[in-house]
Amino acid sequence: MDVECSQLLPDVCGVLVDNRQLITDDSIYEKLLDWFRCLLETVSAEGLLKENPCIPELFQQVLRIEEVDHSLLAFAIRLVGVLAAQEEGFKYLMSDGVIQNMFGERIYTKDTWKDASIRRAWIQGLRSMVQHHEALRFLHLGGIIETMLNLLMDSSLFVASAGSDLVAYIFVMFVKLTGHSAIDHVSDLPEVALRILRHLEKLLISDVSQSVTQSLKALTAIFRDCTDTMAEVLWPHIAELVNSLLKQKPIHTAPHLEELLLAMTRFPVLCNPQHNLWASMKQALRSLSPFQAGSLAFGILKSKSCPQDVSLQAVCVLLQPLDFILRSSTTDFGQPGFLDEFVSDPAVVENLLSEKTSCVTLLCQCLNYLTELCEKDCLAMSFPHSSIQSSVLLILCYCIGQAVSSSTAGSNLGRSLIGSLRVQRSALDAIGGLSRWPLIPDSPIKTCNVLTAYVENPETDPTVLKKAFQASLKWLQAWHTSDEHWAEGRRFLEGLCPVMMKCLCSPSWEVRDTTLEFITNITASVEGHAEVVHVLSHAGIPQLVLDLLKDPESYVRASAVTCMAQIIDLTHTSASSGFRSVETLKYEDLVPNLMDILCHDTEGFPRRAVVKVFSNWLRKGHVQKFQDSETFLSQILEITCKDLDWEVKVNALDLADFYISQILEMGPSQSCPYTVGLSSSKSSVCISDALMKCQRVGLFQALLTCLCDCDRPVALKACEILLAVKAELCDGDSHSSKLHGRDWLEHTIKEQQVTCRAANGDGQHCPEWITGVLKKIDLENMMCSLSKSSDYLRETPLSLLQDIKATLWGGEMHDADCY
Amino acid sequence: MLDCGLDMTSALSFLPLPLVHSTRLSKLPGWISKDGNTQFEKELKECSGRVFVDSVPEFCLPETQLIDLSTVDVILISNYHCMMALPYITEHTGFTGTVYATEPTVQIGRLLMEELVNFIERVPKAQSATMWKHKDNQRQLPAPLKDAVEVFTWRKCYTMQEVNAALSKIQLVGYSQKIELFGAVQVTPLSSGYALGSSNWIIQSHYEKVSYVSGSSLLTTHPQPMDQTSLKNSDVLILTGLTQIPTANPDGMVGEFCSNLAMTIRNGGNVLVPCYPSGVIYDLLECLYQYIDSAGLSSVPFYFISPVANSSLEFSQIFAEWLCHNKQTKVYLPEPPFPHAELIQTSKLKHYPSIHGDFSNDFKQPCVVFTGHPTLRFGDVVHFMELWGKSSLNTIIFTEPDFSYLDALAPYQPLAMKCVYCPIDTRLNFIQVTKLLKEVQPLHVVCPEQYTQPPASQSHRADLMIDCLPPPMSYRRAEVLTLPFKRRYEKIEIMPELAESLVPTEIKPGVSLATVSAVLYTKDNKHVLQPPPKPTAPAQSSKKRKRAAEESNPETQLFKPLLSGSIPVEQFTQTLEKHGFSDVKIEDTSKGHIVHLQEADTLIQFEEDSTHIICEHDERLRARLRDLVLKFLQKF
Repeated sequence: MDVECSQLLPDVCGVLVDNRQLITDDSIYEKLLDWFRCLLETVSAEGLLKENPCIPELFQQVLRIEEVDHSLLAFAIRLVGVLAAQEEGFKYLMSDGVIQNMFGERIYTKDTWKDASIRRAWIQGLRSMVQHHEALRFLHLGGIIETMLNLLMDSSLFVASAGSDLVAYIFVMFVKLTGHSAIDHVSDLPEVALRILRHLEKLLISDVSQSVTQSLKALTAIFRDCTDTMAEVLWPHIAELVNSLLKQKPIHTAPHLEELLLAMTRFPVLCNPQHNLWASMKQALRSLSPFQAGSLAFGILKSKSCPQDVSLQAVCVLLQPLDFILRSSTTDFGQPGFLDEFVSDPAVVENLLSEKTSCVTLLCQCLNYLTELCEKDCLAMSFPHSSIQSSVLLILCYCIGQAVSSSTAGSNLGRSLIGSLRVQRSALDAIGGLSRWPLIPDSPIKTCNVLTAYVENPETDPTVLKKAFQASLKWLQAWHTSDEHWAEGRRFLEGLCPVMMKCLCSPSWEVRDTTLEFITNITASVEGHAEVVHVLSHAGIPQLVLDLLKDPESYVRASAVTCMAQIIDLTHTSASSGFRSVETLKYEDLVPNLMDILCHDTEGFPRRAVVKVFSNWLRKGHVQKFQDSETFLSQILEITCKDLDWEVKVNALDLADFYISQILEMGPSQSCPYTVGLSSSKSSVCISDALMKCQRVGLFQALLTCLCDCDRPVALKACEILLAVKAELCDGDSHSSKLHGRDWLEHTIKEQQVTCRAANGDGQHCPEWITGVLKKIDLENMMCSLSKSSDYLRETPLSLLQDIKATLWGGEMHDADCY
Repeated sequence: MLDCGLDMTSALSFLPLPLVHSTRLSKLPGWISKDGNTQFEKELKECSGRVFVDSVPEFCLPETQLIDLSTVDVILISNYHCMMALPYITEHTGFTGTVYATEPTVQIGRLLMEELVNFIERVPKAQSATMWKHKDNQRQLPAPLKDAVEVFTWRKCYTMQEVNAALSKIQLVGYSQKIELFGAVQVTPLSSGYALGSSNWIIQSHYEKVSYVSGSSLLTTHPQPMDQTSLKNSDVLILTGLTQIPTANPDGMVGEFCSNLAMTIRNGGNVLVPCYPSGVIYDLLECLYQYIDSAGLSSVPFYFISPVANSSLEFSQIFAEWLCHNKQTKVYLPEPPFPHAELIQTSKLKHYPSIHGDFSNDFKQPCVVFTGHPTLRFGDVVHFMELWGKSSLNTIIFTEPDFSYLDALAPYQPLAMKCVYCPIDTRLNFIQVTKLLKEVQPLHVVCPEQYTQPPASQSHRADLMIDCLPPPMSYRRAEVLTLPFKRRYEKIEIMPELAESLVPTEIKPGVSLATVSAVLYTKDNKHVLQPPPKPTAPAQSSKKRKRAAEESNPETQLFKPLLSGSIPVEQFTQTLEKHGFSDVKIEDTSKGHIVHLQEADTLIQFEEDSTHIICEHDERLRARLRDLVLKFLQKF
């Protein structure tokens, strides 16, 4: 703790316990606790208490006050817990009797205990404190464990919830710290741990739902923290109770049972058949409601150690709604269903799917899990891919009224699903995810038809259209990887072109923007596939995208900029691969349009996009091929330096960074500290040439101007670049005796501009001047201050203490005025 | 009579009426039946496998045979599309009643009729075909002529004189205005949100309420929003005029319209939009006003060609009170409520009465033309179909939902121009209706049979039907339906002087009763209670005569109070004992009690609605007991 804080702290403690002060802002306690926690990472609690006697005095005073403010008491309890987390701190506070008074009988027998915030603070304090043997020993004192266990059934949900966490924590700490890690049987557990376990067992067989819930929550928390060995001892002990809960009808505590079972899947030792964990899982899959069972199945399938028969059951549970969908249809999609056996009761599933709200929720859950499992490749086992795909496609057809079904179930499904945006979005995500599976013959046609129907349908919501495009992209990527299926992909893309063109003319900007994004993504993801650009060009899409550079909506202009740049890139790649595109656009052809946006666009997004495109072109070496690339770069830097949008400037600095790195041949050592540094002895002629080039494009002027920019990220970026350049240019040079700051720099820049103008009228600096400036300016110090966030001054502990004191003493000053 | 619409789909069976001579149409071959019968060769022409009547188009009238229309007292009009058959009814059926409609309905209805008459009359056609209509002949014809119903009731278009005469019978009304009909019911038009001046109607008596919901819209377009609140508490809600295209959302269709229009123009083609001169066109022009600059179409001319184009565009700007709130506020700025005024000012939108005259000088391509008639059988649209139909660069965009676009295009086949179907129907769809019915909660819903089952083309769409409880009562053509309510009560007014004379007695807290003697006068379905005429003064006042007069005239009989209340037996017994009856015995019976005065050999029977004193020969005792009983009862 620094001296200033140390001096302020007694006053702050004084005002905190002054009952004349009304503390309206409780957050100061949280801030003080945060500060103490930070402090204790570097100093010892005992030292802190000794050096600042005002802290123990604060505790004593709090305990002495008859009607203490509950927030203050809660704060004190929690702070004692934090300080007592270190054994020496604990002993120091114990010697004062603070620990006993804050956590012992005195606290939980008083009226203040009725306040839930005090009980919660007590739990949090204990949770912080119990880190060592001394604390454990203290817990043996009369009533503490009893009180803690009683809090499991507390009337306040927050207290009860924190209580179950504390119980689990204390259990684990007792096992860990009392050297009982080698436990073969429950009876080997330390006494307190055993007492806790017995209590949890008692709650587990209770008729009261809350007791069972709390017990399950505590057990789950224990299993999350305990070791493999402990799990192996505990699980057989509670397995029977858990199984009997699974046999109840209905199961009230289903979500907590599911969590407990899933917490256990992380122990490889429990996967041993002798432990019957998987038997319980199977039982749970059968007994839980389809919602809960689906969620459990999802967790099981993510587990690496799950036996195949359980995985199979989990898949059956997860996919049962999809099976029902398929059975309900009488269309040409239809197989009679793909599951041979049902795990969940089919009547229950049917019932849920016949009612709109539960149907939408269950299908969304099922489709979302399916998507995630596909993306994580967690569905390794073989099952009928085509049926699942058909089922998802069928759901998509139901949603737009295209699925014809004569069955009652199908008719109900149609009624529930038509127009459901949630299901449409989830199903489109799922169908996109299914593109990762091996391609099946015929499936592309069905998928193409449904996706095209969605993209074509004028009723499609923009958010759904976006998902439809994302799914289409995934399938195009999948087909792109196989020559066998690419013909299908090409046909699909050709079919999409008229729709895309219509979408690009749509009055809804979201539709135009989404379509541009889709085109950008296709061209980016199938790079090297010459046919894609041919298909797009043949349909006349590039011209439409070019027109959209003048779109009234800024987001669309920005997307059109990125899209157009991407199309030109692809056109050139295709042209170089020998493919003749319909219309080969040159990079330079697009420059006037982009420069127009950079100079005149009133919105930031399109300007940012333009600078990014230019930066990208520079990286790929396209700019270097322009006729007058230096003038071009100089224009960009000049325009962007005057831009009011800081992101435009930062993007421009990226471009400058790349340019200067390239010119000065600064190796990758800048970005990767582990690269072996090759000797970078460059001749002074080379450096001089490079500096002349930089000077011609106005690079240093831009960098120095940005260094003085009022937007911190801009100045920071400029500073980073200049530091790198300085290291390169001034390598080995002795440091200037005196380094200057920003004011000096601003003054010097102005002075130099005047001099240069007078000398040759072009306002450029000479290379020597730049080197001189770099040597004199204190870039390291500037970097240090720029790296700190703008509110770091207000966030200091000193500021916090001053604020507390000022706020609370304000009242006292008024009192004084009264006399 | 609720509404008076004209079924113009019959016109689709006829050949188009070209404004300029069309060689193609004139050279169409006559139809010869399979067995070589040539009798229809002159009346019927064949085009791309379809047969059309070569005659002046005819229209299908409302059902006239079911009731004698001369007995109709009142016609309520919901919107300008639902009054197109009015001249046929008011001028040719002996109708002598009154027609009620709002001012914009009448004015825009007049424009629609005027346009129709103009379209037909300016291309006179000598030929009138009737032979094909004979039942025996019709049976031999190919579909759809074969299946056309009631073809003998089809009529040629009316004249302007008939239009004027019909419109003169209309009485203008305003929203929420209450109109008394013969004292029997009150009718009130409510805003229906569908078109300028469009209304739903409330028909109510004092105790019954019937709502007639015709073309209504909950979307935010140019008309005043729909008044839903006033429809609440209806005994019966008659529901018609739902969207023709329940699967097409107007917003999506407008987007589709704009996208296709822009694509065609960018490719150098022209766009033809067959439309009515009023209604959706205002909203389309407003959308285009916002869209054309962003789509780079600022230099493309928009033409609106109709004999009533000018009036329609100008009328729309003056009906401020009938517009939605946003447009109303513009009037006070002051600004024209519709942005088409600005399009006209900046010459982006030009309007002409016909393709002849100024239009031919100004005409530039590529362009967008809005013109009628949506059937493509008459009007300037026929010319553009002949002009642009051969190029695939051009596009025809159908926005009116009333006609099948395939049928409309049939006489123009083979057609190279692109065809886009974007029906924009802002009327209620089934989701909106279900929501509306849940909010309004009528006791019964009555609707056409078509709304109670999914459309035949989409029989799997169970969502495309009315879903309400109790299920709606449906009706089909020419079916007579009894509305599910009975008139049980009538309201009667009491004259103030009679009311003054009443003396109410409170029989329980909050409930007072009084007896009334009065004379009931009924006139024009209004009922009034007036004081009874005062008795004429007797000529002689002898006691005997007076008594005789009192007995003979019931109105002057002594007022006998009515009694109410029940008698507590125990208290009554105590009272009897107080009055000297010591030997009282009480017996409970199934209906009440019997009090037995043993000494006097007298019984008093108390039952729920009667009390009997049975005592023989002792009238004094009876009277005493009666008075004791009466003490426990209330009199009024």
